[in-house]
Amino acid sequence: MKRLLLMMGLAVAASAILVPSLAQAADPPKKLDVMLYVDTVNGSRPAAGAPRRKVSCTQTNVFARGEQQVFRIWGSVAGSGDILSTENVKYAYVTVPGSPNLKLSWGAHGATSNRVWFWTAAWNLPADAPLGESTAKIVFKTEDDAFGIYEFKYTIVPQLNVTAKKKPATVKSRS
Amino acid sequence: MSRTQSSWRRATNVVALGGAVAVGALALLQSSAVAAPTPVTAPVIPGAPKLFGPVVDAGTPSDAMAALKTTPDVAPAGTKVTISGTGLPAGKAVSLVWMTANVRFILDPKPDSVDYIGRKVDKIGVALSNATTDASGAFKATFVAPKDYGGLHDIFAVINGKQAAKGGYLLERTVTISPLKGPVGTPITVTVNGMGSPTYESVGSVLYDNHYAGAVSANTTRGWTQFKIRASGKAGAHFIEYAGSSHTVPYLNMQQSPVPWTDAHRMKFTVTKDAGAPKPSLEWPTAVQPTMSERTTVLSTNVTGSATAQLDSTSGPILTKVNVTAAGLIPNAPAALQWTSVVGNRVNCTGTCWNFVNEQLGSATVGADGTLKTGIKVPDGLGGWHAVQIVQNGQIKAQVPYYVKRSFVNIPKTVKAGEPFIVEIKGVGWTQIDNTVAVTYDNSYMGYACGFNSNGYVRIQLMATGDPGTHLIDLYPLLYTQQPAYAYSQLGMVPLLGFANDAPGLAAGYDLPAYRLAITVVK
Repeated sequence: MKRLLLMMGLAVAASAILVPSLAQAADPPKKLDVMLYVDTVNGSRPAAGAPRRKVSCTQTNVFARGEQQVFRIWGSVAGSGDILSTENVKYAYVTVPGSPNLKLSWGAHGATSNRVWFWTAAWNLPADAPLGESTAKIVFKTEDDAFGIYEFKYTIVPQLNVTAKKKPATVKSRS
Repeated sequence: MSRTQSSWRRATNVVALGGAVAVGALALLQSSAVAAPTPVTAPVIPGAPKLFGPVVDAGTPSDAMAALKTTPDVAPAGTKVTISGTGLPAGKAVSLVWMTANVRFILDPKPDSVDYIGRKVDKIGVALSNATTDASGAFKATFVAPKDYGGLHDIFAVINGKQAAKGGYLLERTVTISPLKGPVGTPITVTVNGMGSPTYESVGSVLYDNHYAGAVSANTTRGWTQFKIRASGKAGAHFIEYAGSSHTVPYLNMQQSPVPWTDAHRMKFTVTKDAGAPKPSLEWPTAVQPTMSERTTVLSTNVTGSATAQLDSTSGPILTKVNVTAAGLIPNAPAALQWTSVVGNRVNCTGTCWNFVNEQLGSATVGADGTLKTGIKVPDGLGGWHAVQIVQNGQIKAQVPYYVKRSFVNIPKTVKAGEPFIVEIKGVGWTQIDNTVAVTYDNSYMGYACGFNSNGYVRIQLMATGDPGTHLIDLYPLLYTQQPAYAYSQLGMVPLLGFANDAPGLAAGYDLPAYRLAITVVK
C-alpha cells in the first residue's frame, strides 16, 4: 500500500512541534494514520567521566555532554490499532546533528514481571556536541513503504549539577 | 476645587462649567473600557547594547544537519571565538546566523488604567559572520561573542537557505559591583551583563546578607542592566548575592535546574563606618522617550472642534503651577478647565472598582480671537497620567496630557528603637504600573504601600528596629500584578530594583523614582 503516513507524536519531555518536512514534499496528508509517543530519558551508561545522575531512565529533554540520551518511542497504526513493531516496520532510526543515524530497536524493558515493549535508540552525547537546542528526527518506514518523520527537540548544556558533590560548589565571583 | 464624577466616554454631557457642581453618577466603568494587550516597543536606554547585526532569515533545517565546533563555547561577551564545520558542500558561501530574541513588555492600556500583562519574546536570527567552504567542505571563521542576552544561543551555518550545520554558544552572565567599600548609605552600582531572554533566565534577585532586596530584569536592554542598592548594616563585611530567579524571588538551587548558568554571583562590600543618615533623595529612572501614544489613559475620545492647547510643562509634582494657552476656542465665551482623574481602589474588587472624575481647575473667558491664556495648579491627588481639558458649552474643546510625578513629604530623622514612625509621600498613581511602592528596610523587603484609595497620598507605617545608628528605608517602584492578575507576569509585587533601565512603564511615560530615605535609631 502506497500511502503517506504522518507520524504524530506526543512528547512528554519536550515542547515538540510537528514538522513533517519530508512529508510535505508529497501531497499533504488528509488524516493522521499513525500515532507516536516520543520521549527521551537519561541512560545508565554515560561516557567515562561524564556526569552521572543518581537515577537512570528519568524523562528529560536537557542533557549534558557525555550523558547517554535514550529515545523511547511507542507507536500504533491509527486505523487498525496495530502496534508498530518489527512485525510491520521495515526500518526505524533517529537522526541527530553531527552524528550517524541511530538505529531504533524494538525490545522489552523493565522488570521481568512488568515488561513493556517499545522502540529505543541510545547514544552518548559527544564531548563537543553543539550547545543549545537540537532537533532529532525519528524516522519510521513500514513494510507497506509508508514513511513518516517526527521532530523532537532537546537541549544540550555544558554542565549538569543534579547530583551531590563531595566538595561545595565553587563560589563564582566577578567583583 | 472640587471633584465631579463623570464618565470618561460621556464627559461632554456631564461637565459643569466654571463651578463645583457634582453631576451625578453617570460613570462608565473600567470594565467597559477594554483595550488589547500590546507588546510595546521599548524606549532607547543609554548604555544598553543594541542588536549587533542585521536580522536575517535563519533558514530551514536540512535533512542531515552537521555539527559545528565552537571554541570556546562557554564564555562572556567580548570573547574571541573560532567556529568551524566539516562535511559540508564544497565551495559554498556560508552565512553564520546567531539565534537570539527581541523581548518586549506587554501592557494593556485601557482608558482608565494600564495593566501589566507580562512580556513577549520573539526569536530572531542575526547575521554573525560569513565564510566559504573549501574543496573538502570545511570552513573556519572567527567572531567576537556579542553583547546580547545570556544563556544558550544556537548558531546555524546556512547554505542556500538551509541550515546545513548547527553549533552553540553559552553567553555567560557577569555581575560586578562598584565601589567595594564605603560608609552606610553608599550607593552600590551593580552592573549585570548576560541576563537571559527565556523566562527562567530573565529575572535576577538581590540578597543583601541573605535578606531579599528585590528583583531585576533586563528584558528590553538586551541582557544588560545597571542598578543601585545602598550599603547598610554595621561596619564590616557584607555580602551581596545576585541570584538566579525564575520569576521574582531567588531560585536557590538554580545550579540544579536546566539553566544552571544563571546561578548566583556573590560579592563582598565593606561598610567602613556609619557617617550618619544621608539626606532624603529621589533617584529617577533613565530619561527616555516614551513609545506608547496611549500612555495617557484618561484622555477623552470625545473632543469637539479643532481647538488646540498647550501647557508650559507636561510633568511635575502636585501643586505645580502650569500655564495654559489655547487657540481656536469659541470667542468671547467662558471656558472651564478641568482635570481628569479616577477615584476608587482595587481592594476586594468584584465589579466596579473605580470611576472617572473631573476636577474643576477654574474658568476664564476666551478672547475675541478665540485664544485663551490662563494658569492652573496641579491638584493634590493621584500621580501618573492625567489630562487638562478645556470645556465650552459642555463640550471638550481641547485637552493636553500631564504627568504628575511622585514627591517626598516627610520622614523623621531620629526614632527610638521599637517606636513606630511614618514615611509620607505623594503623587502615587492608580494603574498597575504606578499604584504602589515597595518598601525595604536595610535592604530587606518588607511590603508595599498603595496610593490609589488615598488619592495619591501614602503614609507608610514602619517601626524602628536594629542597633542604634543609621538605618535605610528605600521605596522602589512595584508592578502591581494582582486585581486583575495575569499568568506569567513576572516581577510583580516586589521591589523593582532595575526600574531605571528596564521597566514596563518606561515605554508608557511613567517616570517612577526610588526614594532613598534613612532614619537614625536611638536607644
